[in-house]
Amino acid sequence: MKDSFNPSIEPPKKTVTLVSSDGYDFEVEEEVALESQVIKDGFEDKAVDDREYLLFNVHSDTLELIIKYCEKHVSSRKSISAAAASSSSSNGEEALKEWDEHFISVDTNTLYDILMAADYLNIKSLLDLAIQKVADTIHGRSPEQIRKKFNIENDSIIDPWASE
Amino acid sequence: MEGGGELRRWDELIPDALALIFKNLNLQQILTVIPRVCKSWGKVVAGPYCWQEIDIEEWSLNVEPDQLDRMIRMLITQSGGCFRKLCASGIPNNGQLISFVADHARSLHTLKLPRSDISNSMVESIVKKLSNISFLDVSYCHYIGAPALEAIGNHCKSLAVLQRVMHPLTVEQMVCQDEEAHAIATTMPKLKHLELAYALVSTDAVREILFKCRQLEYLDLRGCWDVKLDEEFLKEKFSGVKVLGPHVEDSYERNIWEDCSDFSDSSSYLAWEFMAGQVGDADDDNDSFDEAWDEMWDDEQRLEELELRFYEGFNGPIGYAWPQDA
Repeated sequence: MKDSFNPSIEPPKKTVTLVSSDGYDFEVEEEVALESQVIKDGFEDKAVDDREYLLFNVHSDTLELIIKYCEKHVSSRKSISAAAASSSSSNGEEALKEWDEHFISVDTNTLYDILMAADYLNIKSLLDLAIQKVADTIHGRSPEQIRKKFNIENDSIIDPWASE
Repeated sequence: MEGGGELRRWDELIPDALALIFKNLNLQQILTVIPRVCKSWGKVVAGPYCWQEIDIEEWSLNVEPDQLDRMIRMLITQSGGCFRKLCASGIPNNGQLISFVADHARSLHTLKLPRSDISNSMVESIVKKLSNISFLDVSYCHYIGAPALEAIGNHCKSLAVLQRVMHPLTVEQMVCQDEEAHAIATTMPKLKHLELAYALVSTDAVREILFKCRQLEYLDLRGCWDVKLDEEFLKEKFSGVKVLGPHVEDSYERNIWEDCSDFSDSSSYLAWEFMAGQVGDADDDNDSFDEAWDEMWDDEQRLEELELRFYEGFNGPIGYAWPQDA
């Protein structure tokens, strides 16, 4: 399943290969990969047959999620602007927001991995989404609950409110 | 990095990253909950990272002047004088607090002080130190007028956004603000965004602003009932300016902030790194950090005092009560 992300939809588009830290190749459309500012910077200088990126900090599990996010955002942008061009009403942005909400509803370990990957690849909208999710998770919780949720050790700060 | 939960160290994210997260929490949570989670999170709150942007506008609406005074001084001190943005409502008229702000304002570019009792002479005496400001909100400040705005225009050469909104219910007691408009027109040529909602200005005064502030893109005149601008005239001569009002349409309200966001140069992208494995280095780098931390939080009395202040301030809804463990 992880071997490749084969875009079976014709016509064939230009693709780049992303290699995860554990050695899996993901072939993605160029415009999807360009969602990452890091890939975008200097993309034009790279030879066309050398468009392979080794992502040492991104595990295949996370990379799969990141690609899913980028593909969704590229396709949504297209349909939103198409709807705007034909001046037909569209709830595309609303729907995308909902999709994002669902996408980022993950356990804290996965959230951490997405956060780090979004930062490493510099995908700003995803970074913002992840940061907001972390803040939402903190919101309304006591220190003890936060430690539990994020698996943080209590390093000797005395918490008089903790009901042990 | 994956496959091992023990490597996902939320407590070891770099301060910049944690500050970015904490920025989305309210003031009470940042100051009273986060420091109790773990030492490294507490250090971030005690250090400058969280306080590049000090936005306590909402909190400051319901506090006594001396509470506001202490809070602003504390947060500015914590920012290490690096704060770029300060939003607080109701700065008192004694002049000391605003002087303190100005003395530490070397990085300040966004200053929002609505409903403040600052005076013309106060503004004139501190404005030299605010020369980097590009975004200023002096809405509902009834004790300042043309002299203050002129001083601001003369010293804050990069001012791009000015908010000088008045309250619809107090306008009747206000004096004519044409002199203020004249000060804006003659000293603030680089304004892009000007909000004068409910200001008592005349058509001529507004025309002068339009003719002299040639970079203007947005002009809010909602509730400026004396202003009569011909639409054809605007279209012909000032097609690049979005003019709101004088008629009031509520739907614009929520967009004001979004419109302004372009003028902020804050960027939430940061190059993150881990502090893990570099504890020694980190300690060296963070001496001042530690001092601030020790000063601020190891002193139990001060901590308690701080919380006490919060409870004084948050005596409203139950939602502000201390969160209980499940």
